[in-house]
Amino acid sequence: MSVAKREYSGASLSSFLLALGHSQALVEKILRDAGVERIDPDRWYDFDWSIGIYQRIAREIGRGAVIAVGKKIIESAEFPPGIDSVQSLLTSLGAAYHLNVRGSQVGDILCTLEDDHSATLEWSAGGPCALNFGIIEGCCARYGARALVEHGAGGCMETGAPACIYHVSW
Amino acid sequence: MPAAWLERSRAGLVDDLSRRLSSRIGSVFRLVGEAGSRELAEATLAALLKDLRDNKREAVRGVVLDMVQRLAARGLSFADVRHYVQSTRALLLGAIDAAVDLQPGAWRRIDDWLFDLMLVATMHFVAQREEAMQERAAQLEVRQMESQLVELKAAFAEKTRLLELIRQASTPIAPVVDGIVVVPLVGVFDAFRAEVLTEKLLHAVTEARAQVVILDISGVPVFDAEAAQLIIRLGQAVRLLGSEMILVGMSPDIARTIVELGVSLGGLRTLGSLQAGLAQALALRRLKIAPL
Repeated sequence: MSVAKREYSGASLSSFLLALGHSQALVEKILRDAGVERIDPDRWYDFDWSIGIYQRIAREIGRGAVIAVGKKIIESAEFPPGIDSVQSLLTSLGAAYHLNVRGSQVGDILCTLEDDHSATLEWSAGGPCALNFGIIEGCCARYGARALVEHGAGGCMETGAPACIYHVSW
Repeated sequence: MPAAWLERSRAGLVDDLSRRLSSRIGSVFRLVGEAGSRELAEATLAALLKDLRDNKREAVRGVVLDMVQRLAARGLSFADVRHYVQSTRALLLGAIDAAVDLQPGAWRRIDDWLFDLMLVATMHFVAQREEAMQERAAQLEVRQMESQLVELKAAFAEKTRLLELIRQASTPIAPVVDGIVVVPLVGVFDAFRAEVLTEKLLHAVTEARAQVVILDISGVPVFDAEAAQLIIRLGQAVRLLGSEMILVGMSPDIARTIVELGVSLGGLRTLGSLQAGLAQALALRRLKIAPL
């Protein structure tokens, strides 16, 4: 298998699908339409195919539900011992993302901390924009902080921009 | 005088502020570019200068309101507002610290103005966002109502179609013999149904050149004064076309009701059964049914 081939981890895709909870019938239908019965957490899937699954589910369940799913994924995920604050979690998102993708041109998540309670994230990683909102909110909620997440001006990946910018305050 | 100091430092502050604003990634200031950011920086420092000279806090309101109104449509966020206020504050306070010719108290006057800048900017931003949300909610309501209206129209059209189907089915007009039609009435006979039947029957009489119409009311459960009047009017209309109407299927109960109500059937020929009515109609047409 070529290293340059863009792939997405089944474990990550599977955790997203599990977080959908009551929408399992919808998940099964979308997977069937995409040609598989289930997602195997131990294997790798084609990157674009995986992102397509995210996008299709996002279209079906709506923005609010996708944000909730993103939040739930982060709140219930296990992180290494060094990750113990909103800041450390936000700055580790890029590394966590790269554990779940391989190949070239798979995007990135770059976090710039602005002060003790605000940061800017430049997000070129694949996936629905609403899910990213949920993930960022989840990073703050995990440590009891209420977040204000705003999409930066200058375009969104879903409308063709190369990256989404998020400003988060907590 | 802080105003004189500001006048001297103004050009450099405008340069620094516009650069800071436009360099922030994902900000609305980057979107409007260095020129748009410079315009805002110039307006901000002009407002500060005016308020310092007038010893008021009025110009700050104007510059902030203008910024929110101009940039809201471009995607102004709270992070942008905060960046604008923080950048302005950091630059001004930094410049004051470096100044050697400022009187005591100047720092306080400028810091008070910056505090107002933050309050007014936050207030206008929240007000603008609230307004935008209300507008979106109103648009959503309109869309929902339009969608409900479309559904209601479709349901109404379907209901009308079904009702028409029922009406057509409930008033059959059967041409049994040349020149004779039979109309069996089943169910409640009201003004609306009478109107539909009259229109349909007159058309059928003309088309079939019917000379006799046999109206069978044995399937009408209630026959009151109104129904009797409607039947009489129907008979008169048929007669105007040169045909005769025979009323059949009158039960003893209906006959008693008509007598009790004192309703005159106005010369309508009445017979007990459909067979009797058909025999009468054949006789009127000088026809008879003969075995083969």
